[in-house]
Amino acid sequence: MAANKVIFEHVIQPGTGKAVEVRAGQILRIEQVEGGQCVDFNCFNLNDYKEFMHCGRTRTVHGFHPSKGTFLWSGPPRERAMMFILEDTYGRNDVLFPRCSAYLYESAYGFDVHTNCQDIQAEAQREYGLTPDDVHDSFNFFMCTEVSGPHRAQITRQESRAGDYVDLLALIDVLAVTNVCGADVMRTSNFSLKPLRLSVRPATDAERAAAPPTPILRSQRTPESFRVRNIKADRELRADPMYQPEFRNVPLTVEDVAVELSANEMAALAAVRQPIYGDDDGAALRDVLFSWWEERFLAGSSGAPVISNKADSA
Amino acid sequence: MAEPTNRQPTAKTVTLRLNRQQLELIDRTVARGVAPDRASLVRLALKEYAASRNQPKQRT
Repeated sequence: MAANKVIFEHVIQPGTGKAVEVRAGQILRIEQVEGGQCVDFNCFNLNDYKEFMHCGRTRTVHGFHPSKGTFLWSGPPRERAMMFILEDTYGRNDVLFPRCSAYLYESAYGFDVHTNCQDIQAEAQREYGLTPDDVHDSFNFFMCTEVSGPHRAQITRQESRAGDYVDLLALIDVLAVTNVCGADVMRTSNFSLKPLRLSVRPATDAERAAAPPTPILRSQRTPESFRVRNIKADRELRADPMYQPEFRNVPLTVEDVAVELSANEMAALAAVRQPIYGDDDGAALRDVLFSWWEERFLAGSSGAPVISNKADSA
Repeated sequence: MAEPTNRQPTAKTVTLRLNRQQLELIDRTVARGVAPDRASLVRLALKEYAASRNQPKQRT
C-alpha cells in the first residue's frame, strides 16, 4: 500500500535540532542523509509537557536496544505508550547512554563551547517555551553501544547508510525534538557530524493497525487525580505547613502465616534456601514462595510492566 | 544455595511474616484454585520450586 503524502519536511544540519508537532496517527521519519549519524530524540505530550518520553521505563520494557515493534513510553505516573517504532531499517539504537552535555566536553576535552545534545535540544524546544531544565534523557537512534563488562557500557562505531530511517508512529499528540548528536570527537557518529532529514506524514490504516494495543490500567494516572494539580511556577522549594501525608496502603500491617512442613519438605527447603537468610526459616520460605510465584505467573521480565495481553497473573 | 550440613531435617512449623499486600497476592492465587489455602500454596511453591532445581541439566 502506498504511503500517504508528506506534510512536513526539514533537514537538520550538524549542530542543530528541530521541534516538530506530530499528531496522533501521524508518522515522523528520521532519515540518514549521508549515513553514520547518531540521532538524539525526545518527545513530550503536546498537550501537557509534564508527560514525556522516559528512557528508563522504555529500557526496562524493551531492553537496551529497542527497535522495530517497540514503544516509546512516558514515565510514571502516566506510563503510556507515546510512540511506536513502525520501521527501523538499520536496527541499532541505544537507551543506555544519556545525552552528551557541555560539562562532558569541557571536563573531558577542554572545550569551553562545543556542540552537545543537551544544549541543542534546549535550543530547539525553546521554540515552545521549554527551558534547558526540561530536556531529559534521549532515545539515541542509530547509536551503537554494548555492555562491555559487568558494570559498564561503551559506545562503538556505527554502519548506518544514507537512506536508512526510523518511522515513529505517534499514538498521542507529541512534540518531537530531534537533533544531530553533537559528538564529533567520539565514536558515536564515526567522528564526523552529518545532516538528517525529518518528515511527517499521516499513517495509513494499515500502519495504524500495526501498533499492538497496550493495556489501559487504573494505575495510569492523569493530572486530574494529582493532589497537587497546578504546575509549580517558582523555583524555590518551601514546605507546605498544611501538608498531611496520605500514603497508600499504610500502615502496612504484617501477619504471621504458620506452615507445617514435613521432614522431607524441610529437606527441600534446606536444598534451595538462600544463604542470606541464615537460620531464619520463615524468610527463606517466603523467598521460595515469591520466587516460585514469579516463575509460574509473572508474564513480564523482572521489574518490567507487562504490555501484552498474554499475562496469566494470579 | 546453603552449604549442605550433616543434620537430618525434622518436621517443623515455619512461620512466614507477610504484609497485607503480599497476602493479597497469595489469597488471589488461592482464589483461582491453585491451592486450597495459604499453607497448601506455600507447600506447593516449595515442592515445585525445589523440583525445578533438582531436574538434571540436558546436554546440548
